[in-house]
Formats: sequence, C-alpha cells, structure tokens
Amino acid sequence: MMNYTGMEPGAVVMLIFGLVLLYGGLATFISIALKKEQLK
Amino acid sequence: MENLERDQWRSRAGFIFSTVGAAVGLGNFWRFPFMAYKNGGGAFLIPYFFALLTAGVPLMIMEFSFGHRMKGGATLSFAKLGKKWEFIGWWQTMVPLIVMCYYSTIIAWSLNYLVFSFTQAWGTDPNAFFGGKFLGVSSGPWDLGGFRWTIALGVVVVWLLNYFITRNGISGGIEKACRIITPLLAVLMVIITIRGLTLPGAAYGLNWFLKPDFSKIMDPQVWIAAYGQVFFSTTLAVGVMIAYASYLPEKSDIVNNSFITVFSNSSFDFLAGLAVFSILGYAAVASNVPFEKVAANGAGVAFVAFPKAISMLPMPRIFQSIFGIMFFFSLFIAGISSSISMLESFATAALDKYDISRKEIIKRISIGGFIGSMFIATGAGVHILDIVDHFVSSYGIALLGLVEALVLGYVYGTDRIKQHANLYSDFRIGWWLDFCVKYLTPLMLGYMFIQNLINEFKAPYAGYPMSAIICLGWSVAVGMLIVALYLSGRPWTNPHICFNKIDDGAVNK
Repeated sequence: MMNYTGMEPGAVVMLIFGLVLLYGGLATFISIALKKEQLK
Repeated sequence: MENLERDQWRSRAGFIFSTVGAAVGLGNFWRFPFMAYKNGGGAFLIPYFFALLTAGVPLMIMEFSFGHRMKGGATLSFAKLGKKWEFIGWWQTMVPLIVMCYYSTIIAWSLNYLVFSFTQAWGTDPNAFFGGKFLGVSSGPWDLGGFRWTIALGVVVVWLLNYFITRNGISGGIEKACRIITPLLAVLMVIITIRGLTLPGAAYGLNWFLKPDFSKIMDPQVWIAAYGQVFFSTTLAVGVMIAYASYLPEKSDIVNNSFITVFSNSSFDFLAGLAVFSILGYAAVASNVPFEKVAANGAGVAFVAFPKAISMLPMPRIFQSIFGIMFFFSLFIAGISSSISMLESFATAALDKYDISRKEIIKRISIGGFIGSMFIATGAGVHILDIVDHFVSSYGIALLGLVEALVLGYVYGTDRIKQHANLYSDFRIGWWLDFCVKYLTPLMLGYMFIQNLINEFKAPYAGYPMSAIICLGWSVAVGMLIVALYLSGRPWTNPHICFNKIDDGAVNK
C-alpha cells in the first residue's frame, strides 16, 4: 500500500461546511414543517 | 377551470418522498462528485450552495406554485396561461419521454450488475468486461452490433415496474412506491458511506473530493458548472414538478416543500460524493496507484471503478458481494423513482388534454418507451444515448429552463408565483424570488445555452460522424419542439377540463 496522510485541514473544513449547510439546512426545514404540522 | 376527477397526494410526506425520489437519480452518484473534483474540489461547494439558493430553490417554488395553482400538468398549466403557451408544456413533457428510453436502459445495467455482484462476474478487468462482454460496444452509432439479451431482459423488468407503479395513479402508485423507495435509498446510502469512510485510504480519496482550490472560484466556468449541476440534478423544466404539484391538496405548503426537496437532493449529492471518493481512495491506496488511475467519469464510476473497488474490499468475498448488491440496488431504486416521475410527467399532460383512461395512456407510453429502450440495448446503445443525452440536455432542458423562467417570470408574473406560494406555506418568500427568476436564472441559463451552441459548431460532439449528430442529435432536439407545436394545435377532448379566463384569486378558490 502507498503511504498516505489523513485528511488535509482544508478538506476537513469543507467537509464540515458541506455537512453543516446541507444537512443543517435540511434538518431546519424539516423541523419547521413538523412544528407547523403539529400546530395544525 | 377544473378537472373534476383529479387524484391527490395522501400526505405531505408522501409528496416530499416522491419529489425527492424524482430528483435523486443515477446522476447523483456520478455527476456531482466529479463536478466538484474537476472544479476546485471543496471550493466548488461555495458556488454550488449559492446556485442552490438562487436557482434550485426559486425555480422549484416557481414550478410548485404554478402547477398547484393551475391544477394541471405542464400542458394544462401553460394552456391556462394562454393557448399560445401550450406548446411549452408539451415541449417540456417531450424531454422525459425521450430520456426515459435510455434512462431505463441504464437502470437495466444496474439490475444486471446487481445480479453480477453475486459472483463478481466482472472478474479482474471490469473495464474490459463492461465495454466488451456486457455492452458489446460497436464501432459507432450506425453499427448496431447485435442485441444484448441480458440488458433487454433488464429493460423488460424496468418497464414492467414503471407500468405497474404509475398505472395505479398518484396516491395508489407513485406515493406508495416512493414512501418505501426514498427512505430505503437514504438508509442504503448511509450504510455504503459509513463502510466507505471506514476503509483505509478513504481520507486520501476525500482529499481529492474536498481539498479546496479557491483560485477556481474566480473562474466563471466553475459558477456555470455549479448552476448546471443544480439545474439538471433537480429535475426542473421537464414538467415533472409541475405535474406532481398539481396533485397537492388545496391548502398545501409550497415554499418549505421546495426547500426540503432541493436540500434533500443536494444532501444525496454530497453523501454520494463521500461514498464514491472514499471507496475510490481506498482502491487507489490498495493498488498503489495515483487517484487519477482509479477515477472514472460518468457511468464508468458505477460500472467500472466501483466493481473493481468492490472486489478489492478488505472483507470475505460473500460480504464483498453483499456490498455490491447493496450499491447496485441503490442505483436501481434511485433510477426507478426518477423514471416513474418522467412517465408521470407525460401521462399527466395527456390525461389533462385527452379523454383517455390512465391505464390506457400508461400502457401506450410504456410500450413506446420499451421499444425505444430496445435500441439502446444494442451494441450501438452507448453511442446513441451519449449523442441523444447531449442534445436533449443542452438544447432541450437548458433552453426549456430559460424559456420557462422568462414566460413565468414576465408573462405569468413573479407576483402571482409569490402570492400563491405564500398562501399556506410555513414561511414566506419575497423580492429574492423576483431577482432569481427574472434576472439571474435567465442570465445563467442563457449564457450556458449560447456557450453550448458555440462549442457545437466548433467540432462535432465527441467526434461522432456528422450524419449521427444530425439524425440522432439535432433531429431529436428540433423534433421535440415540432411535435410539441403539433400537439398544442390539437383540440382538447377531456370533458372535465373547461377553460375560463385566469383571474387572480379565482383559480383554486
């Protein structure tokens, strides 16, 4: 096996950026929908 | 202006699972990850996220609002806007009709590979297996090169599924299927991604996917690529979302449903990127070769690079096979939920206009689509689908998106879109939609279209003979518009449809 290092700091930052914006955004919109549906 | 016997979604969740199922397809697995890889790695996420908020979400709101307010598929909705616009609806629904022919064949490839996974039939050289023994790729688009029977058998299964799901209608067919397919796909994708991330070498692959090259952000081409990715990935401008929204109950959310659909699709994009690059990273490290050697483009990722990686996984052969079955089953169900939406787009258009039963129109589309798919199940299939896909995407979908944004933005009006969207939504939208629909999206799609056109005349696409480019490319692209114009001139025979003048506040009241 070739030598490789772990994830580079820039890649880690973009991974967190993607996870927070996409999954955080999705979770927010779903929770808004669930709250509104409960109110109905 | 009413269709008296219109089916309805049984629940909001069922609608969302179906729209997400329509948007998430085969392209999520291989288009987004390599878009990022080629356009600045992690830095691509910035224009991608910007495009998501300024094109994906506003256009989704626009289509949901339009279809829901008009209570019709693309054809009826545009016809209600004005008889002269009806052709746009037909033109939109022509695209999925053509795409379904080759899309169903690619789903059939996934089904074949699902079976191959049991024995890892691709052997030690998946590249030679895919192009040679499996596809039997011929010398060019005019050399049919014989029939591929295993692919044809897969096509039969795909069209039977398409037929049996859609013939039962929206709530009894599509909603029921997507309530199973979409959550199942999410669970399978999470399992595949976790396995990928825990492989030695995963970090090496992820660096290629996510390491940012911020200099690329200054390149306008990267922004165009991000807009193209968001636009094509969300199944916009092909009548699917307008048709699906037309079956929503009267007091339905539009704005938040759009956000959830677009963000879910992008979450699948990102998850697929993590899965694909971590597994390819492992394959590169385990074979001691640079990443570029294992990275394939387009369908090659799924049918060449992945089988190779599956056979190298550090686990007993039976678990390798199970992993392969899971991956190709994911591809298969992602494809099915998209293909049924394409079938429904045209079916809704035809059901709105003609006095015909759902079962009859679904039967006719399925038989026609099946025959079309059979041409792709030949040795020339891969050439044919490549040419047709290029022209349908560049001069069908992109141009339709531009026309739709202009007509709905300026003729129908963004005020009507917003007014209707805000009626029962969880939260409201404002000026941002006007700016995105009227100015930004037409600018980006117009630029994309002109750029494609210029490139087209520089050299024949992918070096194919000009005869094939004209017969399979331009003829299909222009033919869709001609057929749409013809169909829009035909009389309406559905007795449940009557046209009144569109009056603000009168529609859907």
